[in-house]
Parts: sequence; structure tokens; C-alpha cells
Amino acid sequence: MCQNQSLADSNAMIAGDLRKEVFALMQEGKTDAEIKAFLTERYTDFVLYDPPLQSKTWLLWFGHWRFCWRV
Amino acid sequence: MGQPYLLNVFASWCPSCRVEHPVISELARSGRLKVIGFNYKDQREDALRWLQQFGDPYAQILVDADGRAGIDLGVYGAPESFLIGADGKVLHKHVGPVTAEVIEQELLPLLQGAQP
Repeated sequence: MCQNQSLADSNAMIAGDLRKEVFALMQEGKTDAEIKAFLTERYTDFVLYDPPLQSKTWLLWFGHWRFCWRV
Repeated sequence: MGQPYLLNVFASWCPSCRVEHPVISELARSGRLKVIGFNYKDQREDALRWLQQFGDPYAQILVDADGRAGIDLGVYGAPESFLIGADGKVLHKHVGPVTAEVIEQELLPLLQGAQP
């Protein structure tokens, strides 16, 4: 399963299930913020394109520099 | 539940689940950690046949036929295993087949730390 594809593009089984879930939440009238919260509560900030800059997501933002040093 | 357990997400359609099955079975057989099965997006007959064929290591089996409960847990697919503490909190999630190394180095040490 490719973790870097968008929910819209991914063929993974879970992506289909989550698209259904997001659609159901939209039909219930949930806001974008509420839907994002629903997903991050279950799957962590990893599922956001633009994760909040907090100490716990530091590695997502700046971690790649650590690997660049090794090249 | 009152005691920690490993929630093991499995399905008859999942080839890697077969790969980890001996490890899961040995863990359950040893008594070191209770193992509860989470049958994910499977058909009942297929799952029962799979358990009959390969053995049933689970103290109990939860059934999630449409994957809806899996979403609430944060399941991406099978196999995945969640280490649940005695208080019901998720201590660790392992994606992919569980190996003896995972058990010794990732799971069991967390239980020692969590003891009251």
C-alpha cells in the first residue's frame, strides 16, 4: 500500500473505505475541520498533506535534512 | 478487559497473515500474552475454514465484516497488531506481520513498563 498517494487517487482497499466514510460524513453535514479531525484522531497527522508544526511532527517537516547529510 | 492483550487483525484473503500465523500461535500458546483476533473484511465461511486449516490461536474473535470498526481503530489493512494495555489503551501498533523479534523487542518490553 502506497502511503503517499492521495485518498482520491489510491487504489488501496482502505482508501475506498475511507472515501465512503468521508462522503457519509459530508452528507451528515460535517465541516472540513470535523472530517480532518475524524481522520487524524484515527490515523494521526500523517494523513494530512500539511501536518501542524509541533514537536511530534518535527521529523515529518525537517527529518529529510538528517538524511541529506548522509549522501 | 483487566489484562493486556494483542489484537491481531487478520483475514483469510491475507497472505502475510499466513506468514505470521505460527508466530501468533506460539505467542498465544506460550501464555505470555493473550491474543484476540480481529477478522477484517472477511466472509465468515472463509475465515472459519482458514482457522480450521491453520489453527485458531485466539481467545476471542471480533468480526468486522465491512471494515467500519477497523476505521475507528485506525486499521490500514491486514495483518496489523495492536498491543492493548490492561486499561484498554493502545500501547503500540505494528503494521505488517508480527515476528519473534517484534514480540521480544517492541511488544513485551512495553508491558513491563506498563505494570502498576
